Amino acid sequence: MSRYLLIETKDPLDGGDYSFELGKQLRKDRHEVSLYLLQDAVLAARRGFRFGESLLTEAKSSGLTVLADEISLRERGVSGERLSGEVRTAGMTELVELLMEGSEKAIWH
Amino acid sequence: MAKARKTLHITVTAGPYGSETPVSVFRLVDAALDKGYDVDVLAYEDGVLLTAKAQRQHDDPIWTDRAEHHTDAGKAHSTTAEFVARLLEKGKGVPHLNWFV
Repeated sequence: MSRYLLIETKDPLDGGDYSFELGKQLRKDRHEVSLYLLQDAVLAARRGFRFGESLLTEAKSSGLTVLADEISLRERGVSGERLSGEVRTAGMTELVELLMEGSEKAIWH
Repeated sequence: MAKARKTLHITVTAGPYGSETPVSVFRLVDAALDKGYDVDVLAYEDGVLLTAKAQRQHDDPIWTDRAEHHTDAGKAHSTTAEFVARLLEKGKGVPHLNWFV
């Protein structure tokens, strides 16, 4: 079993669902997976965005840990009531900790 | 025996102003130095332009008639070369930043 860190930067409607799919497959093989949403990928965390909500629901049921970059969220006005309850906000410090201590394999997409 | 300092290795191909990726890399390098990790960045393809010194700041293109938005007022956008220069200054000691092109 390995610990994977997937960093997704793309809009979920522009290929950003890739890391969700990869994460689910890795979970099936019993790997630990953290998914960090950065840049346009945080658009998946908009409350009421049906496709994003389905990605987050499936991620949760698969056991993925999903984090959303707080600055990327703020830049796009996704905060408060606009933010899905299925993600936890995080910052670069936590991403560095995941990269350096919390994973053996990191993939940036 | 002292524990060896870990090094974060980053390769970046994205050039300046074409995407948000360089800014994300700058933020990542900054946070890694804050956490006490050494950092090696290898910039290639368009990434070599991140440190091009020929870049120049410019005034706000919308409010050119407002003095507070002029370059001299410190309101202009930093160039990517200036961001990298600040990171190199921050990482000139320990922890250390190497920026390769």
